Amino acid sequence: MTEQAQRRPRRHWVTWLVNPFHFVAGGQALGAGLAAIVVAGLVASVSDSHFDGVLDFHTGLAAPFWLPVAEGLIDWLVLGVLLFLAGLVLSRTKFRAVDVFGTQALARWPTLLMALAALLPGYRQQSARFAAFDFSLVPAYAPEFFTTLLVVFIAILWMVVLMYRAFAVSCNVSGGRAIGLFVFALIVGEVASKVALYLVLQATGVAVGPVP
Amino acid sequence: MAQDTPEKRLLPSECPSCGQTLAAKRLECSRCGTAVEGAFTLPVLLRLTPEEQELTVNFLKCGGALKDLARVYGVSYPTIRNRLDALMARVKALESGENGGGRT
Repeated sequence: MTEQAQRRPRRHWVTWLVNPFHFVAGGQALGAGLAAIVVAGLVASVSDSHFDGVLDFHTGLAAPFWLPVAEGLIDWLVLGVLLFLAGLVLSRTKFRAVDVFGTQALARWPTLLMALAALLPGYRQQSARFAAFDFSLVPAYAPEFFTTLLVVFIAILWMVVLMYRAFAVSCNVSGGRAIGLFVFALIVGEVASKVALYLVLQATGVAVGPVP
Repeated sequence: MAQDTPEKRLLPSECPSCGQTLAAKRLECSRCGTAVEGAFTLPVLLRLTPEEQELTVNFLKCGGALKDLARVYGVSYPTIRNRLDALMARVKALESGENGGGRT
């Protein structure tokens, strides 16, 4: 290993947690990210959970096993396209599409944490009640329910940080304008992803409803 | 400046007192002792920081291949490309500052 390669940012492990794109991007990030999205989708299907929006995560609606996988991929693709366009507007340098889409895919790896947390029985039972419009909170379910909510909340925050870091590194942007465009893309992406998912449900004839 | 061995002694490019760009005033032949005095502007490359010079040298040694350069530094492709973009901007700034100030 060269002397330069031996130099590492201080708190190397912190960089891996909040900005892994400093070390990995392009095809590597794309492969790892897509694998995480697919696995998260499959795990989510076990608990009847859904990634029904760029930042959304809900549990309690039964659906075919492939739907949460498709949801994760659609969410990734929609936001990737929007941030790529944002990069074209904002960046003063050239950048690669594979870096934008690859880093955005890897930024979604915390969805795996959400899917795993949603496997807790108390959370699933309580969520199924909510999905069936029964809003009473069962005390026995409360510890696992709120534990999962906490994990999901932290994972979403972490994912947003990763998404912004991915955008900043892959498009070489920073500052207030970058943050503003990123937030705008998130909002538009949230709407666009829901429209896209609705069209997928319409096209496939899949019905999604409360867990029986 | 750090007290390094002569082989690693770094050429300063900015005045430690006022920050103005330094100029070479005397050059001496290490073999015959001939000395030349004048006012010689430091080339742009010598006015880069040691890290920037190192990046420039490594870029050349990698034949301009950013993927290889990224591997040398252990960082991702966009990270090394962003560093090069910053280096290019710095070189342009140094050159425009040189041209705007006129030759000494």
